[in-house]
Amino acid sequence: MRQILLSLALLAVILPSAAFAIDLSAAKAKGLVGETTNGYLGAPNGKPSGEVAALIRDINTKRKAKYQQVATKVGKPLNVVEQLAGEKAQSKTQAGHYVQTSSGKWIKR
Amino acid sequence: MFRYLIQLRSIVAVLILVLGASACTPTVKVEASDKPITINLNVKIEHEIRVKVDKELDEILSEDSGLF
Repeated sequence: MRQILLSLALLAVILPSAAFAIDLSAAKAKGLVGETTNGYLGAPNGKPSGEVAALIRDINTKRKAKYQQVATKVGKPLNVVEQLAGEKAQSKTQAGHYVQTSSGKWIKR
Repeated sequence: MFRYLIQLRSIVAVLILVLGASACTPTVKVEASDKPITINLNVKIEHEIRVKVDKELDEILSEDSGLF
């Protein structure tokens, strides 16, 4: 059992994000993740489980890299890009999925 | 004569004070008129950033990268 767990953990590390036990759209649909105002994923229920936390970390790292690319290309600070990305991501959030308000409260779209 | 000198001194002192005060006034005025110009510039830049970044972000958000 322990060996199976270990090899699973190893697989999760080696394989790209596709290997995550839960994917982004499923996590959104279940209300486990939502869009913050600063362009990143957050956990509406406060304490995400291990796999959800890993998904959030993975997506946010990749998003940050993209935002940095845009910031460099446009020649503006990263936080400006992050904020505009947040607005955009929230406005595109489907009904029933979570978004975080600027006061930190999570609401369902 | 001595009294006259003292009077002259105080007149000069008052003159210097008045001149000093009036010399400061234009500086303050320049600063005040500068502010609205700065604000206008910020609004313009903000809009430009918005348009530029918006285009780039649209590509990322619509991209099939699974990040959104």
